[in-house]
This record gives sequence, structure tokens and C-alpha cells, in this order.
Amino acid sequence: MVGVSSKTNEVSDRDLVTRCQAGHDRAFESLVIRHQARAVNVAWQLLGNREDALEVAQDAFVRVYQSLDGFRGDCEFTTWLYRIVVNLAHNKHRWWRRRGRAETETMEGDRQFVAPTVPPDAAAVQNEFNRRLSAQIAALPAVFREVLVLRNVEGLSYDEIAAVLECSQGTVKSRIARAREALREIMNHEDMPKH
Amino acid sequence: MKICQNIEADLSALIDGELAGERQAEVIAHVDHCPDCTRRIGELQRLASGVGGLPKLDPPAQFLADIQRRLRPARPLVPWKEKLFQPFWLKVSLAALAGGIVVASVVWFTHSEQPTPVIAAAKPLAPRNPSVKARILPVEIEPVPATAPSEVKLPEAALLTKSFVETGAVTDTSDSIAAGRKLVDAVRAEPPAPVVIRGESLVAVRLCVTDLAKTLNGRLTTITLSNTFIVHLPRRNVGAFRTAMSHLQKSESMYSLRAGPAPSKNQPAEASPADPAIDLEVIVESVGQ
Repeated sequence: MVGVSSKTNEVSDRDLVTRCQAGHDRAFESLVIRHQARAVNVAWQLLGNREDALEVAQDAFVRVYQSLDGFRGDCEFTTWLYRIVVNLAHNKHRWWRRRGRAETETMEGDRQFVAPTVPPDAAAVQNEFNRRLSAQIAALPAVFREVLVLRNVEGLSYDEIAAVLECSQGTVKSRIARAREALREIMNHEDMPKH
Repeated sequence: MKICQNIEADLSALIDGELAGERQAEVIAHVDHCPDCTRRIGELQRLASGVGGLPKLDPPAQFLADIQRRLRPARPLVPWKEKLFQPFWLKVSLAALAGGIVVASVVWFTHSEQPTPVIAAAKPLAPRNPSVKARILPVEIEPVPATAPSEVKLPEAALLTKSFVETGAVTDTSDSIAAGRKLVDAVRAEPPAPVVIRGESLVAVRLCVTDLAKTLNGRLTTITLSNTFIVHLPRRNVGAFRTAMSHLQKSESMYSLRAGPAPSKNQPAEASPADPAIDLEVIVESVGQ
């Protein structure tokens, strides 16, 4: 089965899901605590707005709780969770777009680009790069943004991303390549920090 | 260069470690000899690490608590029946009015020779709707009291019911009108699920029903008292009857009111074909006293 798993946990997600389905709310709490960081962060990277990200992440867990009885374990729990977060973030994006909110404004307005452990000069360059990169990612089509976040932020493999987005591995490969190429063309290579 | 365009997707897959076997070897061999692709790979890697290094957002401490709060069952809305008497001045004035009416009723009960509507002996009836069978509990039916009705302590809700019907107080309360109309419309459109009502005791409910029989000016033609009240009345009176009965809800016992089957042959004579009679059952689910 292709999916995103958290193998290092003592009690598997599958066991916790089974307990949830049996009515143990504590198991659901464990699932939330275990996966809240990734749900919040994915929503944050996709939406770029703190309030929206927290709302979407909470919505996702509420949706999970309400749909647990119908979860048959066809994929990993984390795959299912990512899928819900991505879909809800997608809906939120469309909701804002219909109301005319500029996505890049919220990205720049909400994100804090301070890197306290980096020397001031380098931090300034890195901050400027991050700011521009964030703005450009926010301007990408949603399908590109999703694959980039799942790959580079969450570190999912192409197989896992395909399972989350319910598309083929070839589609994932193509979208990632096109997304990076689009970013590369927009971001002048001179602006990229040298490593 | 055409060959470079053909391996665009593979360059990205290469830095992700998603290429393998022969194709991986081909792409690496090309990159080794192509300065453009070498530079492009460097840029793609920096972009990838840039995306991965963007600031993260940590969930706030109350994240779980917020979810739990949202998952808690929504607090039930205050039923309109309870809202009806919420203003204190209205409650007091209606209570005073109801007190007067009760005194008048008691006097009337003790001194008049008028027969009360037909009240059959207690006799358990089989539930008409199998779906509510489980909700009907065996009830020890209280005999019709030999003592004067004044000795029966009516619950406040029952008193209010009297005032509600007899004084037409409902016409002064927009909330109850709207809610009452909804209820009546629902009953007319389709026999609804049981409407749960409560009464302090069977006697109180019986008194209330007989009182309603009078209030409805004889349109309430038959009352059978058992663990199920069978009430035949014209459809146009269903709403008023339901509304009045539902005001017993604050007390201990629980009754449910539901539409019965099609009118029987001995339905009341005054019911016209355009406004056929309807059977209502007041089902006693439990008795508090």
C-alpha cells in the first residue's frame, strides 16, 4: 500500500484509528497531537495566512473525526489527513479568490522571515529570498503549490504524493518539474543564495 | 538544446532521488557533459532547499482544545415553548391571569353538573406505530379522582396552558405565533414524529385535556383515557391542541403526541370533508408521580 506512514510511533496510526472507531476519544486526541504539526504546517505553506491555516487544520481534524467510521484503511492515516488538508486548503483558496483577496498580500503580511541564528547580513539576504520565494509560490497554480509543499516541505516521495493527490506518479513528477521550472524562471538565479 | 528540454522533468526527479536504473545513468551522463543542465540542476536544488527552508508554523497550545470544543455537541437551542414566557413581566401577568382562571375553573368544576367529555376506563392500547413501541411504558393509570378537582395540584405549565388557550395570549406573542404556525403546517403537511410533551401527573393532563375539550367548543369529541389518550378532533384544531398540550413540557412526566391513522368511521359529525378529523394519540411514556 502506498501511503504516508509514521512508522516510528509506538502505537501505530492504524491502532489509534481502530480505537477511535470503537469510541475511544483519547485515541483521537493522540492522533491530533501526533499529526497537528504537519497538518498546520501544510495548511500554512499552502495558504500563507496564519488564521486560515489554523482554521483549515482544525477543519481537517473535525472532518477526520466525523468520517472515521467510514475510513477503511485503504491508505495510511497520514495520507488521508494530507488529502483532507490539501482539499480544504484548495477550497479556502477558491473562497478567497472569489472574494478578491490577493493571496500574495497575506503571504507577505503574515510570514515572519527572521532567522535568529543567521548573521544579520546573511539573514537579510535569506529573508529577502524567502519573501520573494513565498510570494512566487503563492502565485503558482494550486496543483503546483501542492506538489512542491508535499515534496520539499513535508518530504513525501512521489509515490506518497500521488496517493495524497489521487493522481499518477507521472503526473506528480511532471507537476514538480513544471513548478520548479516556473519558479526558476521567475526567480532570477542571481537572487538565489549561494550555498 | 532539444535533449536538454527532453530531460527537464528528469532533472527535477534526479535531485529528488526519484530516478533509478538506466534512466538515472543516462541523465547523469548528460548532465556531466552539459554545462547548462549542470547549472540548472544547481538552481533547482537551491530552489528545492529554499522551499523546504521556508518558515514553519507551529500549532498553538490550545489547538487540541479548540478541536474538542468544536466536536462537543452543540448546545441545544432553547425551545420556543420555553422562550414563550421568558419576559418576567409576561410570566408574572400570565401566571396571575392563569391563577384567576384556575380558581374560576375549580369553582365551575365543583358546582356545575355538566358532563365531562367521555373518558373511558383505563385500558392499555397497542401502539399504532410500531416504531414508537419501545417508548411506551406500562403505566398504572390513576383512577378518576372522586375528590373535587380543587384538590389536584395542577402544574404551572398546565395552568399556563389554560390561559394560553382561553385568553388567546398567543396572539400577542410573535415568537409563539411563528412557531405555532410552523407546527401546524408541519402537522398538516405530514404527520410528524412524536412531539414530546410533559405533564406533572396523569390527572393533571386529563384535566388539561378536558379543559381543552371545552375550550375547543365541543370540537374535541372523544377522549379515551388509558396509557394512550385517543383524541379525535378536526384537523384545523390540531395545531391549537398541539400547541396547548406542548406547554406541559416543563413538568416531570413525559407524554408524546403523534398523529394517528386515518379517521375511523365514527369520526365526529361536524368534521367536513374539506377538513377531515384527525386522530391524535397522547402517549404516556412515564409518569412522575
